[in-house]
Amino acid sequence: MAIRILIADDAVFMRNMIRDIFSSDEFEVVGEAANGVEAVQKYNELKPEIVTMDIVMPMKSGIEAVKEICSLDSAAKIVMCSALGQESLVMEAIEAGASDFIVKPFTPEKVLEVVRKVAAL
Amino acid sequence: MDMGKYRALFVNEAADQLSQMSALTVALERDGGEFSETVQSLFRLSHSIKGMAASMDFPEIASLSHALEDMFSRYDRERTRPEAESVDLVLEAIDQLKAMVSGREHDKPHPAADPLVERLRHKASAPAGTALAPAAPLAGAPATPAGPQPEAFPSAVPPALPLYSVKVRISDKCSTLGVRGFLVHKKIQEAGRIQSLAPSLDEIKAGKFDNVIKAQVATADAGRLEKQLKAVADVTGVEISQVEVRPAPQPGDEPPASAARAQTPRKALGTTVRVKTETLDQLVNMLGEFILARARIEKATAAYDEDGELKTAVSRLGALVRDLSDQVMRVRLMPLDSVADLFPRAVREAARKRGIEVDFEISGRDLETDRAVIEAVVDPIIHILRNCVDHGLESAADRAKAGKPLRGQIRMLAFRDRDTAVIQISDDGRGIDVEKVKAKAVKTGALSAERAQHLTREEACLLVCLPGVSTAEALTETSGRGVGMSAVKTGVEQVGGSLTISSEPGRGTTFTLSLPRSIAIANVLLIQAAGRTFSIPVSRVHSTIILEGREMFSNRGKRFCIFRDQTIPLFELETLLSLPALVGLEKSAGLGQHAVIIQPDGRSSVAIAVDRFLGQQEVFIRPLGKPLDRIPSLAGVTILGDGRPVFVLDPARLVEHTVRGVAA
Repeated sequence: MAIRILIADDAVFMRNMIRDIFSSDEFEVVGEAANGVEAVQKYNELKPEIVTMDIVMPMKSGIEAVKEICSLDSAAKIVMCSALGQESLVMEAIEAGASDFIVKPFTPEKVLEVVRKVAAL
Repeated sequence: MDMGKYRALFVNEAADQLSQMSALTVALERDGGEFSETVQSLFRLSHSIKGMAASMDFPEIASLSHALEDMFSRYDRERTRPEAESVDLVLEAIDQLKAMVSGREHDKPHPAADPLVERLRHKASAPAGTALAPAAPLAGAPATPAGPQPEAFPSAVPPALPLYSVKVRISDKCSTLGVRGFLVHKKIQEAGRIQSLAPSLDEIKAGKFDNVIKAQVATADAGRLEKQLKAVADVTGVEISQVEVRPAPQPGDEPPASAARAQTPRKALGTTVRVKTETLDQLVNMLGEFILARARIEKATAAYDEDGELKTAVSRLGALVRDLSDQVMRVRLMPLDSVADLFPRAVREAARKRGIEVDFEISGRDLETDRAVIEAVVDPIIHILRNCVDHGLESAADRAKAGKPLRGQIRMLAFRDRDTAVIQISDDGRGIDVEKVKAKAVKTGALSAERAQHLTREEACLLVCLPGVSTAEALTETSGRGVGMSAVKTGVEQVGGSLTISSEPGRGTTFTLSLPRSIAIANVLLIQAAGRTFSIPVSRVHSTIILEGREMFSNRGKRFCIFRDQTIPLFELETLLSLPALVGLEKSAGLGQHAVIIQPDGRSSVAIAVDRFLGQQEVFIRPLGKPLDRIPSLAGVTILGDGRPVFVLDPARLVEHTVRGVAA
């Protein structure tokens, strides 16, 4: 059964790139969100197995979205995507409930490794 | 053994621990991975108080602490969030213990705690709910509670959960060692109780370690922990092995220090001392006399123009006094943290009363400001928090309709902005209905309908601070009587602070308290008006100017002047203070009009005309006694070098009263 993924990032370019990484039969990208508010909404609608969540997004930050999603679903598996230099924000996200993280620029192999590991938990 | 000398130590330490317990108990109700650790800290703290009370021969305190211990042991067994009634009971017990402990300080009798102990024991022995993971009960707390035994308490014992040694290696290729390490630490923390950690958490977060994290953790499920750790990206190796557990010590053994100090880091006890507040206040008063004496010497020696050595010595004295005063003022600094545990409790109580759920976060607890300021703003802050819960936040149903998270969000943010301590409290509720507030204010006669129309949003929000104005339809017990916010604003202003309110309908409201960090010593500008001397703190003065005739004009009975290419209002200080002009007095004619520029709201300038400037001076501002302390435009009084008392003005308040036309 394909692993269902929700991609949250405000950049279309990033969403496309991440979507392409998950283009095999192993995964199914069930939705995309362009900001924190959409991320929470779509999570509730689609109930994906994994969310890839950008930290800095308009309307609601990735950290806020993580808090909200985790308060509604404590088993949520969220992988944070951050740029180098945002270490303390990533730690905040982890504190808020994120399961793991990847740092931009990332390689497809790395993304797949992290997502597979988190999905297996 | 004379227990008398340990009494003060017992009282201090127990009070500190009870304070921590209060904060931790409120945190228990929140979701998050911290539950297990919080409960274990609570158990440890109540256990410690029990032990101390037993040593001090205070059996009632020991018995009530024991009952709490049992309660926390039950929470630990059940591993689910306790019901609100249970938490209420725990908080009641903690309050009772606080009263009992402080009663011991002066050997006062205290009410019997037996009924409370009974209720706690009853709750603690209730059948455990579905335990999520089988966990051995915390040693030292029998599963079926026995009666209180003050004579034979076991000393602090290590937990009965098996102890494991964990070693995690992180890949050399990991570019974010700090965050990776932090994630590893979090996984270990979630599994159980960390007994030791190398490197320290700070070093881990900073990424300053050699890619290996070692920890000793007491956990019920090592297999799960191993699986979790291996699933973390960039982890190349995980080793977990069980550690020989020390047998529980018999009564009479030394309590093992490490178990008692397990996780919650104690504040560095060795580097701080406790000082009686009276002593501190005396120090500050003495310092005030010091500064006065220095000013007198400076004045007296000003005449001795020729004597270079005297002048140098006096100048050196001045520098020393300045340094000393800096240090003393620093001693008076207290972090917000010292009162911060009161706030989550106030929010929780108000939320419980109203029947809604609220998430409350504080950041910036280590903000320091003068203790008098902290003491003065505690009640105002609590009132604001209650206000947010009672009036700001909507019901869960309304929030769902508005797409907001079901739990109301309240945030307190404290930070420093140079010499000002700022505390911001925001809720994400319905915001202030500005039209309603204006209507109410007009109705109570506080201002005219015409003025109401010209108010900015910010000014309109502040109307809620007028006595009698409150948009609450029903008066609630905690707030809504219409006096609360007015007392809040006054309380803040009395210590030299200010309150501003901003609000967005449907989005929320933010209360901002700007407070002085230190209140007693300041640089003031001395000015003369109507023949009398006044002073204004330099920090409140934007600039000073001398206006020429052509830069001033009148329009419809109001005066204006030109300042930096802008037209701004001009007031006469003597008019603002309603001073009768002294007959025959000459102003500094021909030299231009001296005026002080202030910015009451931090943005727009206002000019205040005075007779002349008399110079600047560093002074000790004393608060005014009754009834003068009721006058809003007076911030205090200071004594000059020649012994004259001079009022210290609060120019923003002065102007506000005139501009707002209060009672006009």
